[in-house]
This record gives sequence, C-alpha cells and structure tokens, in this order.
Amino acid sequence: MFIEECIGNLRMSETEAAFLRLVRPCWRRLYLVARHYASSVEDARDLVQETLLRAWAAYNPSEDRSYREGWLFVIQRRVAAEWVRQAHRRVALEPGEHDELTELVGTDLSEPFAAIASSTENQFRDFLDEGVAAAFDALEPAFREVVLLSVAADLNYHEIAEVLGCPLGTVMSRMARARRKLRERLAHPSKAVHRRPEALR
Amino acid sequence: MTCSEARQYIFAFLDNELDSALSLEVQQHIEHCALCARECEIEKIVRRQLAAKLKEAQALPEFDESALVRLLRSEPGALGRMSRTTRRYWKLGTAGALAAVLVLAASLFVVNSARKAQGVSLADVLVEDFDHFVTEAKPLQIVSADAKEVSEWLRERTALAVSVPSVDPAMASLMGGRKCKINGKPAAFAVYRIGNEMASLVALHESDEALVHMNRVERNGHTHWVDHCRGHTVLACRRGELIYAVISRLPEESLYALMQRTEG
Repeated sequence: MFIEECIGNLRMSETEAAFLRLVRPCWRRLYLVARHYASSVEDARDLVQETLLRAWAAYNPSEDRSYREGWLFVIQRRVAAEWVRQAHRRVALEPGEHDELTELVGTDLSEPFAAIASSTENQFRDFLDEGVAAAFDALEPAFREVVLLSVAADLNYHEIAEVLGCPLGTVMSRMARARRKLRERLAHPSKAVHRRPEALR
Repeated sequence: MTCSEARQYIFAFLDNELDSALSLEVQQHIEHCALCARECEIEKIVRRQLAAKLKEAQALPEFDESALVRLLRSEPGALGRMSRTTRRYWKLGTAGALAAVLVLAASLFVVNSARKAQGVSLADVLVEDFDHFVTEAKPLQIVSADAKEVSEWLRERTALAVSVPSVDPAMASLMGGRKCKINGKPAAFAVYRIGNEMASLVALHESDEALVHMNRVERNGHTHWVDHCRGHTVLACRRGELIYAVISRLPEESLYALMQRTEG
C-alpha cells in the first residue's frame, strides 16, 4: 500500500517502482549484514547505499531475467570485497575466498554435539543470551559469514550459494560445520578467542 | 537412519533445506530418538537466540521510499543527511540510469582493431563492453552529475582530451565515469541515464578505419556512424582526435541529442 501511495504521490516510473519493490523487503536485512561486514555504523550505511546505487545502475527490468533478493546481497558482498582490496575502508568481516579443505579439518559431522551445561531451560536461555553473540564473533570468517547470511539475512541455501559464489553442497557443509563450531564455542567459551576488531550490534 | 547419520543432516533439516525423502528420514529418526530430538530442540533455541542477537539493531535507518525516490531523482533536499561520498553516489543513482563510457572509446577501438581480423565490428565490441558494465554492475570510479568534474577526472587519468557533455536534466542525467585500458591504450567512459534506460558514452583515440563496418549518416552537419547489434544502438562521431560513441538500448533518434552535446 505504501509503495502504491508513493507511486501516486511521486508519479514513480514503473522501473523505479519495480526497483523499490525489490529493495524494500530486504532493506533492513541488508543493513543487518552490512553491520557485520563494515567496521562502523557509518561504513555500514555507506555500504548499503553503494550497494543500492550499483544495483540501480544495473537494474533493467526489460531484460529477460528475474531479479531476486540474493542479487542485492551479491552486490553488497562484492562492494565489501572491493573495500578490502582498495584498503580505503575498514572491513570487520572480510568476504574473501575460503579454503574448503581447511574447513574440513577437525570437524566430523557424525560425532555427538558438544554438551552445554545447564540445569534448567531458563538457565540455558540466560546462558545463551549472554554467550551466543560472543560465540558467533569467535567463529572463523567463512563460518561467520554463512551463518550471518542464513540467520540475519534469512537467505536460503541456494541464495547463499549465489552470494558466496560456491556450490550448494559447500554451503550445506559449511553451514553444518559453522553451527557445530558455534555449539562448541558455547560449550567451551574459553575457545572463543577469534574476535572481530569491533563488534557491532 | 542412525544417530550419526541424522547428525550430519540435522541443521539442513531444521532449515528446511533437505529434499522431501531425506527430510522424512530425519523426521522419522527424531520421532524415535529422544537424544536427537533433544539436540534438535537445543539447536532451535540456539538459532532463535542468535537470530535475536543478530537482528537486534539500534538506529537502523527507516526505509523511506519517498525519500529514496527523491534521491534517485537527485533532488538536493533529499540528500541532506547523507555523507559527501554517499551524496555523490545518490546523485548517480538518482540521475537515472544511463551509462556512457567516455574513455572506453579509445580502448574499444583498440579492441576493435584487434578483433577486425576475426570479423568482430566496433559496434560488437562496444555493445559487449556495455553489457558487461551493466550485468556485472561494474563500479564507476567517479560518481558525479557534474560534467566538468567528470571530464577533469578522466582527462587527468587517461591523458585524453575528453569532454563529457553536460545534459539538460529534462533529457538525461550524468551518473559518472570510469577509465580503462584496452590493449594498453587508455579509454574514457561516461554513463548517463535517459528516462528508464542507460547509455554509455565512450571516447577513443582511433582512426576512422575503425568505423568502416558501420553505416555512415550525415546529420546536424556532421558525419555519424551507426550500427545496431543485439538490441543496442551504437552511434559514433569524430570530435578532433577522438571518436565518441554512444551505446544504448534506445533508438538511434534518441541518441543524436546526446551526441550533439559532445560538439562542446
């Protein structure tokens, strides 16, 4: 309804309206993800805006293709990667290429999960409330990113594969390992040593 | 399915990412395995708590669509709260979407020369480059609606006597530019938005031979070269030592006005 009102008030072109329809549902999620890529709130804002401008520059609904939400996250990740290469912005979560072999070492997906000590459900929830963010921050970048795109951006595995530019099987494998590692970090908080330079929340 | 097998799929199962057959197998195992069922419940809580943490955000900007539209249209008042850099980017986006690549002309000609032997025309090269720019969402290196600023930036970096034309805002909007090198030669590239379409203006340092495959048209007292390729129009014209070419999905008639502005 709001979009239609804008169209009426501003006589939005069909292209602009279509672009806004694409952006609006993921506006908040783009910011949530940007806050983890970027090192400051200001940079996160610029990251989203640059993402949208590039998307707008490339947007052409007359082309024989469909634009999905994942496309915006692909562009956002590309911009963040450029910032890393150009070194003119601080990036907290580097969206680099990740060595899949390294990921495979030390995580047997068939083994039992790490046990988290807690006597009651309320205690468990309190424990998580205090520790889950630190456990997430302690994940290696490749694992943090895949969890971020799933949990904060609400992307499905196909979309995450598109964003990361990797096969679906890699996403599934990486996600399982990331979540296991998260459980391990929760069970053994002392292992949570890999912290981002500047956690943003 | 055993517990160890179920554990391999438990996260994808909870994320609804398994195919129906495998999902059913995991579901059936969980219904009969208290240990795995408990792990599922723990994981659900962990994920929920993590989502709450990652999504709890203070001071997230509201999505103001009317402001966004104004920004897309370069209304100065709508840019007030943005950083200088961002403002320039918004001007670019607002202006609409037309990309003209100025410096690319030189490079395109070089590429064209190299491809002549393979029967690839200049128009093909220009359209291919234009498509690449659009589909890859290649970044502009200077984002500005100020033709003078873009021209100076390109001249400094390409050593080409490029003059990016300013345009009537009612007709089109300048978005910015890029420099590039093709076969070792610098080229200039500017991008415009005309209505809902993009157009690129490329400036190349080349001879007229590069245009022999295009149709020659006398218009506005100048010789133009026109070609159509994969749904795009390519309109070229010589300006001193440089050749300017406009590439767009717009029809030929829509591009003469922009080309005329390069007479400068």
